[in-house]
Amino acid sequence: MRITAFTQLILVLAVTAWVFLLPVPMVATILALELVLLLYIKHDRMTMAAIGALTVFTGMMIVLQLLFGSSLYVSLTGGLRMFVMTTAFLCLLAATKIQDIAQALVEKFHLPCEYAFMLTTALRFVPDFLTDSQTTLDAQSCRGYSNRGNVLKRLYSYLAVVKPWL
Amino acid sequence: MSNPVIKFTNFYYGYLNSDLILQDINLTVEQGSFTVIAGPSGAGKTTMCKAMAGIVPAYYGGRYAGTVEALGEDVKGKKVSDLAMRVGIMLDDYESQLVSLTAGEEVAFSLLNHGFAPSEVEARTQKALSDVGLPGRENYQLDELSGGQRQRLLLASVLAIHPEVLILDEPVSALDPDGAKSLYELIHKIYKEHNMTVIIVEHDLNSVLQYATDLVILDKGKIVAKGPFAQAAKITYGYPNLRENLPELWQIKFNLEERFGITLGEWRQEADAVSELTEKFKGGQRS
Amino acid sequence: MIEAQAVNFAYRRGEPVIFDISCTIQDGEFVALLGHNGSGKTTLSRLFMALDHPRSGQVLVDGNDIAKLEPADLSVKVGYVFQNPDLQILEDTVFDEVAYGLKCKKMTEGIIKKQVADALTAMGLEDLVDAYPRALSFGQKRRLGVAAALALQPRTLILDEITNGQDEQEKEDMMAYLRKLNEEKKITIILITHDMNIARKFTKRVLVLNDGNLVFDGATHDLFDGKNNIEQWGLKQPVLSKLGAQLGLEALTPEEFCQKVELKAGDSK
Repeated sequence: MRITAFTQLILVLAVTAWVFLLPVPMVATILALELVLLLYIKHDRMTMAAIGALTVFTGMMIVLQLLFGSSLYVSLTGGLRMFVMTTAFLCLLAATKIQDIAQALVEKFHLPCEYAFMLTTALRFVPDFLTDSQTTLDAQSCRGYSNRGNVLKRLYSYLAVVKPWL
Repeated sequence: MSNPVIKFTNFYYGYLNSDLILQDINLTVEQGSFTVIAGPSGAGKTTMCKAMAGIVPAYYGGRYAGTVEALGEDVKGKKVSDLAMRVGIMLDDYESQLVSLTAGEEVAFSLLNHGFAPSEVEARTQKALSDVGLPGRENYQLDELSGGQRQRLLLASVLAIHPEVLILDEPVSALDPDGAKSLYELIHKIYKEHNMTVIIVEHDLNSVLQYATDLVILDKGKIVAKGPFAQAAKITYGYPNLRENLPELWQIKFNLEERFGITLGEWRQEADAVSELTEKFKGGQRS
Repeated sequence: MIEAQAVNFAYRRGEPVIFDISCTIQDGEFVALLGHNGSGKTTLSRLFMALDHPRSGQVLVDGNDIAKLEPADLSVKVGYVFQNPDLQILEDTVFDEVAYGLKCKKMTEGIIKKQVADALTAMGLEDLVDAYPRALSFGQKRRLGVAAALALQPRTLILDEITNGQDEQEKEDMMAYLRKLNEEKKITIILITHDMNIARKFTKRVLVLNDGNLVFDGATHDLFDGKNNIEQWGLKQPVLSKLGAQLGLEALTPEEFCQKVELKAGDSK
């Protein structure tokens, strides 16, 4: 079933709107559908890494909201909404060629060409970034850094690697 | 009849916050030549390539004196994109020149930017990828390609346009000797077919020995030797610390010429050397 | 000592890339691992360092199976230096960079100071101890990568394409340092390279991989004597060994070659 990039963009915008208009249980259902769709389309390392990163980021956002005095319910629903919106974006990326998205943005949404190009160029470097950071992690390991142990430690070492690299 | 394609006149250049990288460069590259630029690391070879394509000083700023002319026009003040239509360049940092997500898109990007009709693009892309040894890989994502394959991809997108001038900065650095050999064969073939002018920066002159018409040796920002290959190589041999930049065959050639006071041929392949040496030193006897 | 016993390997969900390889690298050897791009030489070296583990077969370091180990466990016995020095820079000064591994191993300050100094001296970087690693030249960064591995005082060093992209002088310099490490400190050197000249000039033994198979394991001298058709494995016969084989002379440098030609010409007068 072929859906044009333009239609997909419209869908993503629609999801963004629904997230604020629909009740929470429906939003959660949308999330579940999105994740199923995403994993069906693209089931590779990069996608898993992206989902993982989004989960962490959402978690951090929820914690921040709690710290700033929001109630648990508000924080969780806020996090959920953000997660749904960003996962919709991920689905879009997984299902469509970037060049088609960029073309739709330029033709139908009148985005200046330069911005569309910036978008595609930035995204093209993501897999490289993942591979290079893996090499840095390997180098750390070969020098004696052991990251056996919990997920938090692994995450911390990943961030420590990314800092000098960026 | 002289038809300079690239001309440096008293050219000096230094990047912002650095010493002069190039000093007093005077060089003419003739149309139809296959010029090889060599020299120790840090000599300024990459900067020279960027100057030829107008990228330096346009994108880098810095200090600049003298002129660089490409295809008869001064590059200063020109938009890089104007020149890019007729000059194809491949930098040694090939990763940063690849901008698309799939191999096919990368070659197509290059072709579309040069004004080829979309209907022609597909056919040219197919041919270009096939020529560099990546047949049928149009849909491969960049991260599915190894370093060497990416380098070939960039070469494909540059060659596909058949520019008038081709500037390649270490185009086979990520390839193994076999891969390097077949790519230089391809470059030479296209060079001949389309009567291009080729300028190549290369550390290992052995790989381009068969094809080079002219040689330029750069050391610490200055041209030490330039001209037709044999002449420039001879001048270079006069600098003991620069000899290792010459192909081994020619280091041997000049060494033997010195020792025996003879003149040997212009060897382009090992076979040439073997036959001449066997003949001259048959069974150990000097003839 | 590193030993591979009937090792097979494939990346996750991928085609097999190493087929039934067995070899032993003894202490103190200076070995080159050669092969075309994609032949499996880097992959095999990664198995030696526990960066990956074989599908079947075993890798033994000093007689112990390393299947359950990770690279950090091996770092005091085996050092691994990657090809791209920029990806291996983790700290802001040369000292900290070289000390990184020792700090991970929680060594005392005194030991750290001494071992870092030794490593820097061994690689000719003692004057750059406070320098910012990213400001060093490419050749210096490459040597820094070796020094950082050396700091942990491993008995074996694995170096992946350590001379790639450098000019002849820089290559010779790096190889001279490695030769010194091998001859004076008896460190085993495993050099992954596709530079035949370097392999021929500096190593005593070569292992050649072709499409994941080990096709040659023997003396460097024997590989380049002109009797093996090494082109079939994607390798290039060095100019000097080709000429030498045809003219009955053996030489490792153009100067040596010409000297021998002169001698031969003189002999038969």
